[in-house]
Amino acid sequence: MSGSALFWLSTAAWACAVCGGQDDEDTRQAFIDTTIFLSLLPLGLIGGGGLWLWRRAHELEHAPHAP
Amino acid sequence: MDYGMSEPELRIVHPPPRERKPIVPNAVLGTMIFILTECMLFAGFVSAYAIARTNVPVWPPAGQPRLPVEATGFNTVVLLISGALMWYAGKKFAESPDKARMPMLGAMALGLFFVAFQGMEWVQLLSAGLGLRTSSHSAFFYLIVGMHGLHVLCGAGVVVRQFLQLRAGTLDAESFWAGRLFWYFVVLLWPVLYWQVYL
Repeated sequence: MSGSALFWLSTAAWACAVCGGQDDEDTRQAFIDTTIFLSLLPLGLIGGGGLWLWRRAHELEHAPHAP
Repeated sequence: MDYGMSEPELRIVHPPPRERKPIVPNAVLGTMIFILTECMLFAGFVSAYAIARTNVPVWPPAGQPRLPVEATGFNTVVLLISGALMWYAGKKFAESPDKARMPMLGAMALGLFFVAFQGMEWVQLLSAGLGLRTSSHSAFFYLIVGMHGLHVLCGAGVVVRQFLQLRAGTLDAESFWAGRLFWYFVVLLWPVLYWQVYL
């Protein structure tokens, strides 16, 4: 009962942080740019780190062994 | 049936296990993962800042103190030299740990200078009326620059500790590598933040 009361008494809220910025073209473009940036950055970091580790493992594998 | 011959003894001979060295020391790998998460933290800050500045027609907002671009540019150069000295210290450490003392001392001194200079800059800006609540610009400024300053302070603390260990002859190469990695991170991150926040 109280749950349904909460449902009916509640009002609309801007829960999404980006809802206010759709009118302006610059803001819209900034959202697109930062979305691309934040999507690609972790992939680039993980990929770069993984590649570095792979190359280092390859180097160690082929390095002359100490007696 | 015994024919008077002893049965041949079967013995499985295993080759000696090959000693595997870790690709990178644990301290370095841990620092790399930590830096990765830190990169995402600052990327989030910079992205939020980039969006916030498009929401207002004039940026920085009119009627508030200007950020000291030239003085901070000088401080940026100081931090970059500190990073270069740290790289040189790492190179010298590989030859002989004693040879790393002077460049590490220089890197440490310049890093502490950077933090002190930033502190003075903040005092001036606060006294000029640029507070955390003055505008969204100032809020982002204190958040981003302050968070980086905190990282530099922690990094400088690590450098000081490692310098003392180096003097005592107890600094191991793996810890030094991890410490240097973190220092490179704070040094190389700063020009990006300077470009985004000050310019």
